[in-house]
Amino acid sequence: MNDRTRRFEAAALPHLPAAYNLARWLLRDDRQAEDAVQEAYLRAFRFFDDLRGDAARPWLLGIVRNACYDWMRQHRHLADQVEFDELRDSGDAAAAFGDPALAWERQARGQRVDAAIEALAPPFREVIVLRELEEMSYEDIARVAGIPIGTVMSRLSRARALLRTALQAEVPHESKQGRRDASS
Amino acid sequence: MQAVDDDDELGALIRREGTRHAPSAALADRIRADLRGREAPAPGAGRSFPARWLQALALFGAGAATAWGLALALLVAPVADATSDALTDSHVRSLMGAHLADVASSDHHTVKPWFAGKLDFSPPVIDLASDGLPLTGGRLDYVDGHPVAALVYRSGPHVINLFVWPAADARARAPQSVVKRGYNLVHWTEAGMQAWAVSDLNAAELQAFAALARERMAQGTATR
Repeated sequence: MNDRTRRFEAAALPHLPAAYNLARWLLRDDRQAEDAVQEAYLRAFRFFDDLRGDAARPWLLGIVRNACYDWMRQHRHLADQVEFDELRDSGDAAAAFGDPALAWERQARGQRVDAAIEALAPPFREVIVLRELEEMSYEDIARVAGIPIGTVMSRLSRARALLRTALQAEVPHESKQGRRDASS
Repeated sequence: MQAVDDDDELGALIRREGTRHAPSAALADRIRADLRGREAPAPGAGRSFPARWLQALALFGAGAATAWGLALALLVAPVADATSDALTDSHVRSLMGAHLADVASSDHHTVKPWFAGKLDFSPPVIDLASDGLPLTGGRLDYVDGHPVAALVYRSGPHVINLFVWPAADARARAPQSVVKRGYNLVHWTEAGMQAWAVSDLNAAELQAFAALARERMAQGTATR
């Protein structure tokens, strides 16, 4: 094991949970996410020398994200393959994406938040995952997704509105009550 | 209803109820193993590309060579195979009965004119008597869709059938040896003629015969 490999492992492996979480949310499949992350790490290793003083985390997650989009293009993500349209894809997310039966099943298992996020189009899904689950700054999210900070903010607010609608529409009354109690 | 109206509350809800998928321990191991596998050609990112290309090229070359070899084996070899089979048959047949020669003569001045009018080409009839390989005669045969001249030589007790007919092109080809059912065959092309020597003579002696015959064929055209 040479010095370069050691440095790369020290810089990149700590971000494996974040990398995997992003890939898993984008690809919605354990094995595909693992393969995409593995491929992304190899890519990152090849271009490790490009990383000079920048933060490793957004750099690495950017590569993981691109690997996932490549994966989607190459594989069977037909619904996600359609060119993203900010306006069209802002419609009723729950109706437009995902299998309603599956969504219902998830909901019954108390996974309605997951189901609502999964139902989002990938560009909305990724900003929610990076912001809420990985708690990244707007600046870092912009670097990962390769978009301006303003776009990050507008997508984030769109995505939140979609989630709100989806959750309010589907959440039974008493559980909404319970959640308010828990969060306030 | 107000629970998720606020961004912070929505965020809190997502963090509380949303899944942060955790990678399996095996994934980190897979990546580490992968990195160790790749580290050898990695000192400079730029360096690995030519190496990669070379590797791809070598791989392609190997593939092409295999395909070529296969094509040769499948397409060309059966043709040569069919010919050598037919010639071996003819050689065996010539030894079975009394049909070794249509014209029995050790004089090539007798044998060569005998073919005139029977073939649409004039086969080189080479005198190798001084090399201990006397001509004993000639006959007509039909091989592979061609009328061919069969010249019969002797080497001690062994019979050598030398089959000659015009080659498809003028290119000379060095002798190649084949073994068919215990008979040795040597094939070459010289002076626009293809020649097959078939005998139960051992391979080395038949090759020596072939080398001599080939040399004389080449000289024949030079002096003609």
